Amino acid sequence: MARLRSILNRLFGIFLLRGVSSVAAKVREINQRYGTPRVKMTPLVKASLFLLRVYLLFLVAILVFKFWTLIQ
Amino acid sequence: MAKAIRLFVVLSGPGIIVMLADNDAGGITTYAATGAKYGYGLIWFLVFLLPVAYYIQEMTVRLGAVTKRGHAEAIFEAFGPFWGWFSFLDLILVNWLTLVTEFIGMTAALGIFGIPPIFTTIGVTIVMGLMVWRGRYWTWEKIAFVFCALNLVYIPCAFLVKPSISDIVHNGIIPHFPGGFTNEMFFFLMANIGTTIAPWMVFFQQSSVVDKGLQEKDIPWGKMDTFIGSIFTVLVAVFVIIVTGTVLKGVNITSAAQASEMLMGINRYAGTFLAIGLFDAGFLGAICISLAGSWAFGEVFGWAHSLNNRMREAPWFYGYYFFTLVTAGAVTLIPGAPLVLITLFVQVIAVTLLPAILVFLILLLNDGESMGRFRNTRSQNIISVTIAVAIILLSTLYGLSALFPRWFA
Repeated sequence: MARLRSILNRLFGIFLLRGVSSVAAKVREINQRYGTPRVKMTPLVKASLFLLRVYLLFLVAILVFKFWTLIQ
Repeated sequence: MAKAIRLFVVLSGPGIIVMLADNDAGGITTYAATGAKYGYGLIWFLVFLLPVAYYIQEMTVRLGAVTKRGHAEAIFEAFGPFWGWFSFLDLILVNWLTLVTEFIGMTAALGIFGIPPIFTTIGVTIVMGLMVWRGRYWTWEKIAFVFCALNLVYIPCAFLVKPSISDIVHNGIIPHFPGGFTNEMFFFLMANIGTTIAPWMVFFQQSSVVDKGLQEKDIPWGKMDTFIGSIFTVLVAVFVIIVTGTVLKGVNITSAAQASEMLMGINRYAGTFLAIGLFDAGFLGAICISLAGSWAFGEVFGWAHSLNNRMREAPWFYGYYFFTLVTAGAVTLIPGAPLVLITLFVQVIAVTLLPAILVFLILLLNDGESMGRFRNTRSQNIISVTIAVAIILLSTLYGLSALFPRWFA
């Protein structure tokens, strides 16, 4: 029984490892494929993306604050 | 004329389906609560939402027909992996959470007729599986149209409760804020705007346009499809408000299922129609949301992702489709699952994604290199930027009010 469990654990580990490594390889491939943004980075586009980052950081800060008030 | 109608029937679909699916379980609950709280007083406000929905969704038609790419792929390609992964992962999360709320609506609606949640969940999953079984977009779309037609059940439902037409005209058409512009009123307005545009709608319609195979020459038809859909979405919302505004005015409603049950005691048929409508709303939402995620999944990973593929040809596409359905449905069956918390999460997470999606949409529509003569004109930019800024501000306030209700008390 213990031997069977050890074999299953090993097999599951191999499958998990293969799964994770194939997903990681796919993600790397996607990152490479879209590595260079096609849209021309005009000042307007840059400003829009910058404001978007600021907005998202604001939301993250709000969520962290909410979490902090919940655990207080 | 007859030829034009025939052509429209062939080319219509994505716009009408996405707009009627916009009136999902959460949307119907919002309209029912609005009618119960303010009677017919906010009908005029819903009419304002028609151009809002149309102008945002119309852009996805042009983008899909010209670039032949879904929205997830378009973001990756145009803005790179950082924004691509952010949009994709956020979409996957918010779609799954929204799907849970659709199942909550469907199980609650059929629960009124004594159907246990497990039967509803299994039944819905089987029907949704059968819709894609043939491996033809056309089949899926025609079945979806049947459920869209069922969404209009609120219209006869409104006639059953015998509303006063003169009251609707006097109180509903002229813009005013019944009881003054209070914090509660502001919350209701924000909730109604929040249900008008959701991130999944942008992804769904663009991918749907690509999968249907619309060409640049079909764009005017796609626009008309979207416009007619936006009329329907407002019409349904108005009739839900008329139903609850006539019969349940002054009652605090927390769910559309609760409204149906209360209505059953007053008018059995009207209550039944409202419950059927709620189930249908959840179902329409579920078929579109699950597909929006599956299309995005296939686009990003480069796997086959068309409803014209059979299951063995696009295993990842259909695998993801069923995975989200089964897991979201299973959550509603867990005794004591934090369903209220999930509903709250949907509002908050959607707020993180919606601004990004609207900004990307407008930037993509201004990319002359890929859009050519279909890029946004100056007037289209003024309208879409104004709508986007208003939606971002109001949806942020809505998200904050969901997180910190005391700030708005």
